[in-house]
Amino acid sequence: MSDEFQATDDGAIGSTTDVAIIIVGTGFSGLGLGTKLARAGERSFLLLERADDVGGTWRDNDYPGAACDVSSHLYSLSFRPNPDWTHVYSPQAEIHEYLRETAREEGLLPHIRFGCEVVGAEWDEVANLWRVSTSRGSFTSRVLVTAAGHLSDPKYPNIPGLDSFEGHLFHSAGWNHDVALENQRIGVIGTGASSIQIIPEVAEVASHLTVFQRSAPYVRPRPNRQYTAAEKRMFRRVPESLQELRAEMFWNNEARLVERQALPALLEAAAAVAHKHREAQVIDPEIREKLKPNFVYGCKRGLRSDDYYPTFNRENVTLECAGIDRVEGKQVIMTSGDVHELDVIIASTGFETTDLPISYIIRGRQGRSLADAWSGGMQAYATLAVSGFPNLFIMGGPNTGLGHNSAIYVIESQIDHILGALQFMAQRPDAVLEVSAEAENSYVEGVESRGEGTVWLSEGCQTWYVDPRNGRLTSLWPDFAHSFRRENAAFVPDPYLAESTTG
Amino acid sequence: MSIYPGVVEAFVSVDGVNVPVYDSGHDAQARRPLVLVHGSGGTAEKHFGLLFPMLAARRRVIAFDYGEEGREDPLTLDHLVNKLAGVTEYSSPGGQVDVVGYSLGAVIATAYAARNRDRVASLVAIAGWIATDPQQRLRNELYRTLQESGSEALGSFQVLMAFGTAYLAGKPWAEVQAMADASRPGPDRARQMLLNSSIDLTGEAEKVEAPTLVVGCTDDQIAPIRQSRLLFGAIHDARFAEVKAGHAVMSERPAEIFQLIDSFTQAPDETAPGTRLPHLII
Repeated sequence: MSDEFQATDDGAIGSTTDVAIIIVGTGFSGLGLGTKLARAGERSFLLLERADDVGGTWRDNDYPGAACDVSSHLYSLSFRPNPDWTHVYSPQAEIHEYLRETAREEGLLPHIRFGCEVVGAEWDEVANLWRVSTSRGSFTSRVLVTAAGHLSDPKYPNIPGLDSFEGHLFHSAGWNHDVALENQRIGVIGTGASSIQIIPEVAEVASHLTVFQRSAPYVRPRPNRQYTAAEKRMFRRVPESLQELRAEMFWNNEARLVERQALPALLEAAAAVAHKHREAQVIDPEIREKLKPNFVYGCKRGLRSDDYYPTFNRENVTLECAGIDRVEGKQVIMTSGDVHELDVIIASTGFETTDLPISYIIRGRQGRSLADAWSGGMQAYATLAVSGFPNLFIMGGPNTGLGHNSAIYVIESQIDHILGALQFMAQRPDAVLEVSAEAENSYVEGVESRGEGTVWLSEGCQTWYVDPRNGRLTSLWPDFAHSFRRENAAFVPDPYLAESTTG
Repeated sequence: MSIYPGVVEAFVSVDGVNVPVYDSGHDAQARRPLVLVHGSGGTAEKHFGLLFPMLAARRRVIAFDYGEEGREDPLTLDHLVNKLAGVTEYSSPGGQVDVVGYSLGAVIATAYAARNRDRVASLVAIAGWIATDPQQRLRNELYRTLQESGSEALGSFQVLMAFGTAYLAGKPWAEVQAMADASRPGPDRARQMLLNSSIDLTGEAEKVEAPTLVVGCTDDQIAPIRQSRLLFGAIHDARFAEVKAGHAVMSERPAEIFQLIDSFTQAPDETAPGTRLPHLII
């Protein structure tokens, strides 16, 4: 890591730093918003980052084989196009570097406090500002933006004895690079988006790999390739060629949403692509059958890989489909009674998506926590504002997950809304923006009604898009990405001013 | 036809012919029905297999098939406009509809809107044309020559003409070959091609009063974009959008077409007559 990313001094511990805007997190959301603020000439903002580097999900998920399964030219900020993406689907290190370069080139580094974990954020009803306490001192700000994402807090499986496993145990999003995997007996728990990237890589070096599968995913071909030097220079010299490609990728993805509206013919056609891929790539008919998904297509996130299925043709790979009963010593004991002796367990079991950890440390009016406000499932007006939490904007929170298109498009839509709010507040220095409960509820009803009849709420669909506590579709945006922007990007003051104490 | 779960199939009798109608029959907000008019060589399912469900998730949509197999007498635009009139009456007895036409369907819809100004609340003309020009006529005659001679080249010619150059360039070769092999003339194609060669709405298009969205496709070689620009020029209350696609825009960019129809029909008067709609920033 270069020196410029090292922690900067923010003054003596004990004093409180006051700024206009605090942003928590430096992933795509935080850096994207920070870039727009810096370009608009805003100086009074800070980005608080718990780690010692920027990049969010793309910093933490540095496991072998990590890559994005959305095309790179689409999975980048519209205001920072990158003609130099090496691949259609570029690897993690390149995406991480793109974000580091964004921080550097946009002049954001002086605004970032590294190693600064937020431990509490409380709305001061008298002073009308947020009081943010961190591992590196206290801050106050008129506006608080959480840009902590929904794929940031690793979730471990609930398996008795896993904690006291006598080999090495780590999560895919917290890869322990000190553990040498060569000639080790390795177990990977989970077969989701991260796992299907990890498994082919680990199989190459492990003496034996055991894959613990609960539910087989649909995996479609991933037509990845390198961009040629001619293409990269064309993108640079003819910028509209890059924009046209980006638009083509976007609209192709948009068209795939219609499958999720539970149209039997389209679902079958989409599932058939995955079935054909599996049948072409897996030799052993028994294993092929075990890898066959048993839920309706589109319920979970669609996955792409060309080297996942062939991994199960290898001599040193076992696919285990029985449930894990417990872990004892170095042994994983299945409900079937079978035992796997392992040196390393990699939990690739996803993230806290419906019960966001950051909601427990944010307190709004009357000291009420966001987690409490969300005890019946998370919800927000325009996906980012919550009644009782003035001047707070949540990025990557409720109804922001897309199963079919680029998350960056959603992030930029939220940035537009927040910038609109900040512009409004700049005109009215005493205004406190607090969305009314009525506006929030009617907004949420409008979103949830669109979930009816979709695959996500169909019988037999278990997905992280749905809150298991109440069956509500709280994580996903159940509509087109372009509808997300049309409905959420514009800031309209009225819903925020109904109960406010404007001066 | 399984174009949408729960679709109601019905027949409407027009000029002594039964016209098959597909009605999504659902609109919680009881908005105006939207009628889709397919293009030549197509059917409701072939041209609107993706657009129909996208729209039907929002509102009531009605599509119909106008091809008639086994007829030799010349096809007239009047007959096709009568069919649309019959379907409009079925959809909204005595009332108004939004009409969306694609290709020859855009011609039919434009003529219908000019002749029935009280029935059309808004018009969307996608990849349509105002009057057949020599470039179009050359393609049309070559098509008919290949078809009448039973040439194997017909499929390749159709794919070459129908799809955008960039779209085809981005496909694997095997897929392009499969597209050419699978290309079959649709029902009533020959009579429709003859009709296509002599369209002239020059005077009539100016009579359209409904708020109109004209959509032209930049790579269109069948109804080239200049034709859509002419429609934009002819219709007083029109706005114009460009889509980066060939004539087969319903396969190439169905979601973008949906977005244009959806936002336009929600508030047809939101943009002033003469507006060129900008591309969405992606």
